[in-house]
Amino acid sequence: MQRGDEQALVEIIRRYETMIARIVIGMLGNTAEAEDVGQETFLRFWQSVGTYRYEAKVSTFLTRIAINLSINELRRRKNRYAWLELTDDKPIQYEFTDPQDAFQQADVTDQITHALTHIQTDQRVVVILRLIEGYSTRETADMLGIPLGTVLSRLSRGLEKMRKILRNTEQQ
Amino acid sequence: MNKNQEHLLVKSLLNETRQAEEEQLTHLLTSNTHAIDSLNDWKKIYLLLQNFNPQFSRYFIKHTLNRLAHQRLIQQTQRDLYKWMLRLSMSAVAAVFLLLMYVIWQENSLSIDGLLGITNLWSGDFTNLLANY
Repeated sequence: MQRGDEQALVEIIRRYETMIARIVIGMLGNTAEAEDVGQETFLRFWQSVGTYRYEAKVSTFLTRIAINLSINELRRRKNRYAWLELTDDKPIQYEFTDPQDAFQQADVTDQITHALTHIQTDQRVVVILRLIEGYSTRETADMLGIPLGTVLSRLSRGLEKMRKILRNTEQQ
Repeated sequence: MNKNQEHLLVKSLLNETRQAEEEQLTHLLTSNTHAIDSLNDWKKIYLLLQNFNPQFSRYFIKHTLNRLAHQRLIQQTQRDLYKWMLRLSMSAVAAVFLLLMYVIWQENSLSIDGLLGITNLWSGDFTNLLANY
């Protein structure tokens, strides 16, 4: 891998594409930027293969890159579309109906993406790492450099916000 | 709900409650209907999140490799440009050095006139040059 063999990169992408898609699309929504950030994640990883330390898992290393790039993209997006927020104050229309039934629906991914992208970024990161990717609470805290209590607080606030979003749409 | 109760509910969701916290959790769930509702809904959301499985486009690998090739091309072009500039600047330095050596060899000194090649030029030379035309 450290020789920069392209076939090894293809193998890495095949193995971790789904994981990176979950993180990046969860963070940014199913947008063209998400795919760009996904590609950039693998390219950054590939460029830093020479300095990659084998104590860290490839998945953890890729996750860190994906999270950092997604946060950067969100910052860029915020600056780029800041003026839109000033003009567009219409309430967001959610398509979610019933969480239990939606579990079996084909578009559940879109609905979860929608709900995820409407919670705060710091809560979203924690929800993705802990509840979607299955990192332990300690690993999530270490990865983000925050205390355990903060992880739990962000999780509860994030889940509560998602719950409200889903409930609102249920009533509509 | 206060912060501790929220943490307790999240821990319960994640099956991370300690023995000592079990009693507090039971008390919370029996005394607070909002907590029960929240926990039940969180469990549903957790289930949905565990099945969250979005995909990139089917050409994702191809696009990533194309991007890698493009980046390599740009890096190669930048390296070539740098090498070319380095060669050019080294040639320029060598030419200046040779010019200086030549002037010193010819004039035994280094002056502006010497560098411009007008050391032995008389004041009337320009007039003569113009008169010949």
